[in-house]
Amino acid sequence: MPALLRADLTQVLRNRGIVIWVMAFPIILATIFMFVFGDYSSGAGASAEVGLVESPGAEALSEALDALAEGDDPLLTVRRYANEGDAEDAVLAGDVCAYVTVGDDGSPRMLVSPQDSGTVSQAVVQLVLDRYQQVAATLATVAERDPAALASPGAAEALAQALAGDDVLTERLSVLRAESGEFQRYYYAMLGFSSLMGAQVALLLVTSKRADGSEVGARRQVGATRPALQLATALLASWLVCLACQLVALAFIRFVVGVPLGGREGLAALACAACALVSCAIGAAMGALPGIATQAKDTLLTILTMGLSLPAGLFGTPSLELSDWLWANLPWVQAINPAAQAGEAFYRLTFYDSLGPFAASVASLVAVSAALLVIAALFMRRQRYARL
Amino acid sequence: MQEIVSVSGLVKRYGDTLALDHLDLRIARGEIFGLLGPNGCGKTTAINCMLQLLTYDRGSIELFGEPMSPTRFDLKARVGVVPQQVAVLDELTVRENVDAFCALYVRDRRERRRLVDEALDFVGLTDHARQRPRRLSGGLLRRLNIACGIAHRPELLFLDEPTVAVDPQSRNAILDGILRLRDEGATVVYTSHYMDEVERICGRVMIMDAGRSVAEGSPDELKRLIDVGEKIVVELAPPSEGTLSGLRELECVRRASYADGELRVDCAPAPHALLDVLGALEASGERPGRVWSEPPTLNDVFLELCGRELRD
Repeated sequence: MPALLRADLTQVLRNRGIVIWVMAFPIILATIFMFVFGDYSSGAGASAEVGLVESPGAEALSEALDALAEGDDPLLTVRRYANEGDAEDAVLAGDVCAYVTVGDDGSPRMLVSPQDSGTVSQAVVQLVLDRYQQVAATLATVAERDPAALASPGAAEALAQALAGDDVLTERLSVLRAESGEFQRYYYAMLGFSSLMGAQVALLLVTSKRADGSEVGARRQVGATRPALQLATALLASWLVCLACQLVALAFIRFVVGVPLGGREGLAALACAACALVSCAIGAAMGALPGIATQAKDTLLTILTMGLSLPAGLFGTPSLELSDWLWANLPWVQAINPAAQAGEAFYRLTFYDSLGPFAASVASLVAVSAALLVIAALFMRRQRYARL
Repeated sequence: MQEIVSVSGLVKRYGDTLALDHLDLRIARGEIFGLLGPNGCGKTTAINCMLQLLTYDRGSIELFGEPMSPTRFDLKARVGVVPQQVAVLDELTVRENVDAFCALYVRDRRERRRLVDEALDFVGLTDHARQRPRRLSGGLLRRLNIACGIAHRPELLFLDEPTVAVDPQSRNAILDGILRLRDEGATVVYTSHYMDEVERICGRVMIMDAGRSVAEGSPDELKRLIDVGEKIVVELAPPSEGTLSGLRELECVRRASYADGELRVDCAPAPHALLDVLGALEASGERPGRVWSEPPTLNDVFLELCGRELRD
């Protein structure tokens, strides 16, 4: 058995298709994700440029805006204009997204270009002004009802700062045990995708063991080693290779990309083992299909991989929405989809307090694997000594 | 002499097609047995049935005096196979390939290493041991195919057209190797379309057609079965029509024709055909140049028994 295992491992590790699509491709895909999502993330932090018309009574607003224009990642960039005419020209020229003036009653007004309204930057400025007015109104109410509260030096400023913060009336709660990022689900879906890609390994090895799969298979079948032992060796080799590939991909997205696993890296390795089992089972079932040429099986496997990865949420927002819809409305479809279950296993492991949902995903993967292996065994048994 | 292969009344059908029609076959220990026949006559089917790669509808197969079945791994351990198409793993080196197939028969690593070395030496691939199959020429690939089948020292070896598409030097080396295996005690079942090869190495031959045995015996016995004698070729100036008529009237002559300065005479089996033909030429006043006579070949036997028309 060690010699058979060594030969199988050598065969797989030197196969160019396996090296590219099973070993390297998940790393390449994760790298592409990293650069694409990295650009999105950096783009989200761009500050909104706003104009301020300097006038008597605008000092408080000016200070408030300046406070938001400070720091490494400022929300605003403030440009000052001596009069409304200059500010209007700047808006029309696109130098700023809007300009702000302070009216006689002390309330701010925001003016935008009619040709360019409703932008995200303008919404940010509007939100800032709304918050400014809320704080001003609250301070006026406090001054009216409890003047003593603002009597001490700096009290008004401290209260204003406190009111301007996010955590005054709202407590931030998270139902997830780790902070969820916008793009993490893609990486988990990618792990599910790569587990299906790994089925090529078992397909290659099973085909090369079956008399009806290849000339080499026929030659092996007339040997003095039981076909069942040869197939068991092939599946073990497949599982080892797929597990190694999954672990490498997992390590890459965890330590290079920085995708969290909620401090449960050990259990993530267990999920990889279940994913590798699914890979073997799919490859074995595909390899045992009767009456189909090996190249056609390769094509079928590629179609299956893409097809099952779609509802797993790999291919962008529509794919994620489809995934969510299926989980909500047809959960059994997702339960038998190994790509969806594999991605979900990593998601549940990372974000859920309880390990129950993770265990359910792993159990689902094992059950699907067992079912596919039984199907493969039935196919192989039926063709055992059939026509070549 | 002990029978290594014993096949009785073997019937194999593919749907309505009868691939093997009550085939009987006996092969004794130490012989090289040739299995001949046109394409689709059932040679490979018969071998695959003997190897239990195919089920069969009726009949019995015994190897080494014991009934063969798909689970007789003890019998399979004594059998080697060299398939018609090169069946090796492209990802493994020459040595790794031989070792991988030998490992199906021999568990012990040291023993296997020795056997692999001997097999590589036997087929002359020691210098190519670290190369991958795709770097080998057609002849070397065929030799690797053979090494993978013989490394475990089988007592019974099936060779299915092992010399297809190889150069004369490689073919010669392969045939010498098969004779050496026979000398070392192996029994060989050999199929080929090259009659000269079969005539050279096989002690007994079966000619199959349409799944049946149409003749069996040693090459000489088979030649005696057919009504074909020697072929006489005479270098000659263009003979008269009377000379050709005279030759055709001889009892031992089947056909006589003249072309390109050569008179060709196909004879029936006769003890003095050459003398009779030369006597007739002398009587007609012809002056022969060089003369040579070819005895009937296995190819003549094959064409006589299986017909000369093209098959699908």
